Amino acid sequence: MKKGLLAVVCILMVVSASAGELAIGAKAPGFTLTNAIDGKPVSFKPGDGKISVVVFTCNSCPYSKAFEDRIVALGSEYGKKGVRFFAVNPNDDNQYAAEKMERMKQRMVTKKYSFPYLKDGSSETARAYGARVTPHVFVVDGKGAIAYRGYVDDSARVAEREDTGLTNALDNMLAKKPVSKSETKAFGCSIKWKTSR
Amino acid sequence: MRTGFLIILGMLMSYRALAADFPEMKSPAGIAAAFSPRARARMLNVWATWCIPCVQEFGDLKSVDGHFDERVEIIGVSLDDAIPDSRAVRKQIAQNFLDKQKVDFRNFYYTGKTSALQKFFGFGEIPVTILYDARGREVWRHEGRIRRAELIRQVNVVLDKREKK
Repeated sequence: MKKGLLAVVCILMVVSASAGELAIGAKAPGFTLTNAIDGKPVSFKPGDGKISVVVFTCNSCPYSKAFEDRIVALGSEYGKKGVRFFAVNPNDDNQYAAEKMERMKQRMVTKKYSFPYLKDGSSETARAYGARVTPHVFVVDGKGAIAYRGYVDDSARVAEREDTGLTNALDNMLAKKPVSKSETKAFGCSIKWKTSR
Repeated sequence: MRTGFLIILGMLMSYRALAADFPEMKSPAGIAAAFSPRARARMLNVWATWCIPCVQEFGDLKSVDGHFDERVEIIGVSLDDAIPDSRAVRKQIAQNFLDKQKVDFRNFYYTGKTSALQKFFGFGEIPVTILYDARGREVWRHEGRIRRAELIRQVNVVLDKREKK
């Protein structure tokens, strides 16, 4: 009886831990998801020596859209420095038609994405990272550990921007320095979770 | 000519009377200090018109406001300004929403940095609803859509505690 209770407590602890954002230093989950541009699978295998940015975003959230040009520009700029970007859309497209793959493809073409925009159709990848909102950023180091989590910048209004969390982390990592501010509080629209799992 | 002018003036004045008072506020501390010292339970709700669950729960907030007397005060804070469009346009969208909702409780249009408001009130996403007691101590919070029954239950807990003392 006591053992059973302990097992239940342990399970609850694991569930509760998986519900939160992945901690700094935690092993990043890999994934294989469909790229909206061509319908082909794209795999991320953390720990292959490259710095990677996983940004959970979507088509319809005004706050995500406010950061879209910035993310696309950073993907291009830091892509030249060897940093890999993955945009991941975890919103349920059964409930929200605007989140469907063809709409993602339209955005990729219009905004000139230089990196994959992937459909997390089951929302499982977002759950594995503990993402809460869009946009929500995770930076993974070359060894596959989470090195930064949080926002792109502290404000979508350029004139009010004081803390550029993502570029600060990437610049630190590219300079082989510790990330001076590894955690910030992501803000945006809540993820529209796929409910039928 | 003069009569026409007076009619238009009257219409404008009656529109202003109908429109909800919606002051701008840049300071998170200013929002916290805006609660009436007489309120026994103080509820803060941060919302935005671009946030679907915020819009969905607004009817429940209004209902809760109507359910209690002046012992309970609700203050709403719009984060519509987080979207980097023209401030005037964004504020008008939020104002139109409040007018359509016919809200009785006070609302502020927050013009400071979103991250500063997040840090001050310690939330990660909106809607967020935070309940304080008469001394301003936080007693409960919920991030995400909240339902009327749960809100009423939580407010009653605060009021009951207060009345038993």
